[in-house]
Amino acid sequence: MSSASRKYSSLLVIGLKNEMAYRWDVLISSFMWLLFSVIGILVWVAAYSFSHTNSIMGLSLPTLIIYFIVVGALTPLLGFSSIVDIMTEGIKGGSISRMLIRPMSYFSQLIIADFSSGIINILLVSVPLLVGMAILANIHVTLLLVSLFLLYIAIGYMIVSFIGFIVGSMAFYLTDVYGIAISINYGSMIIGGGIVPLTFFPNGIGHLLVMLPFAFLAFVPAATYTGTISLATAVGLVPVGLAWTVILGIVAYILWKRMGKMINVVGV
Amino acid sequence: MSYRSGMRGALNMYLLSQKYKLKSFFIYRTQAVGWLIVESLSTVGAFISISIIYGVSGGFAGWTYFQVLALAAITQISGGIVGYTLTPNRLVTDMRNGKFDQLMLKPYDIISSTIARYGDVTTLGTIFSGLLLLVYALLHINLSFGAFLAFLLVYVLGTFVLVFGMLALSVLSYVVLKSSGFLRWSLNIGQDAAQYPMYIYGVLGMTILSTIIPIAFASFFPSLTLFGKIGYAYVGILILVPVIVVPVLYYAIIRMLRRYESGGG
Repeated sequence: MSSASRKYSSLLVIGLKNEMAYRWDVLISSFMWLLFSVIGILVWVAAYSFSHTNSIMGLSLPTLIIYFIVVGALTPLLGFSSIVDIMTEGIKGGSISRMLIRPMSYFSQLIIADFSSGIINILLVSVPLLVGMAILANIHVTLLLVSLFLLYIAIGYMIVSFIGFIVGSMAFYLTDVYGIAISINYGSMIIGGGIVPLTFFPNGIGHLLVMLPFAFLAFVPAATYTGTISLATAVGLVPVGLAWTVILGIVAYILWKRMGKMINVVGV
Repeated sequence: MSYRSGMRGALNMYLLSQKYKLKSFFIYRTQAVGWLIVESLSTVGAFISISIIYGVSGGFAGWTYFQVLALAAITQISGGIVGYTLTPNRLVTDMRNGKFDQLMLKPYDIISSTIARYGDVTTLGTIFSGLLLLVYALLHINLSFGAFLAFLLVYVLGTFVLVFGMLALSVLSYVVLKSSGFLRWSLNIGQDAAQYPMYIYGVLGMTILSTIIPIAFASFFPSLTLFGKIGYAYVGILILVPVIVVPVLYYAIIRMLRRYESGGG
């Protein structure tokens, strides 16, 4: 094992141990993510039921239920990044200095810390749900589908991490970014298809929203999984996702270069 | 110090702290307006999702489009008010690492000091945008003046239940778990759920949203009053319950705070 991977893996282990210090909290949080999906499902069950229909805009209720379960399973990873919390605490409490003096890049430390807080949710909730859904819903699993789905999870994760980094950087200016973080999270859930699938949006708006980075946090991976969008369309969206990853990465980098100059640490 | 002067002192302290909090926020006006706009995203999101639901389906039985918009607006305002008074995970984090000591030492009522300190001023954006959406929705609904007055009373009392309920949940989370990760999302989930008519969640869902995260008192129940969907007897109960529950929550919080372990800071 190279020295770099040893450093990162030990950081991941430390992060996991820190997370597990509050086991009940981790357990409750893991299942809490699913409540967003439960709300979405119940809202649409009520709407379908009152409309006395089995299909709205070509989407049947069972497909919509699977869609929301997949969104719920992906939320621990793509819902919102804990990078915001780590950065805010670091900037306000001064612990950012400890991270900066480590022989690793600040961003990769943030990614590892975030991943270690999410991995328990992923193993406990996401993986069993996604595998279980594929079996129960009789999803036609192909190598292309699995590869695309995993690629979109990776793209979505990078996008949400960069957004988290950009929001977290605002802590240099504000005393508390909690409200903004929650609001951006909620806004991205809406325009990303987390609450209403983008298929239901008026045609022009729906097509525009699919082109935004937020679509890769819910709609694109979930629609690929459920077959709501064709595989050809899903493949065609890969360059869009990669382009947003690069754009947000550049914005985060420029922001960090500017913000970094504002750090004043009084050493003890 | 008498009870009355103690209350007056706490109120003065709260108002003064808010004055400086707001001043420091609005000192950079353009930036402040920017944050307020970002904060209103959740209201815009609620408007979009409800409009789409009613655009592609019949919506919710017994509720018109504008009634659901008004319900969502009321929920946004309540969520904003809670956010303005309390950031649950920041409170629990400070209790865990001992920073809460500073508040314990202040010569004011601890709950007033807590809500003066642990609020997030940017959530004013949610309150303002919620108010705008509420006015827009109410302009399309025929309301009786009496129902509106009853709504105001039920809403104000219900908001107290919500704020005290969230504060009690935060302190309970510290006492039991010493942690608050789940609290970050509990209000968010409650707010998300409460913008639709709550009957869709069944008895279990309604019970959770009336007790554990008591947002029903500051959204669904006042809306029922506003749209005349419940009789006077139920309105009376909705007024009576907060009058009993808020003092109970107040003393429960004070009692639970005795379990706070000082960090010596």
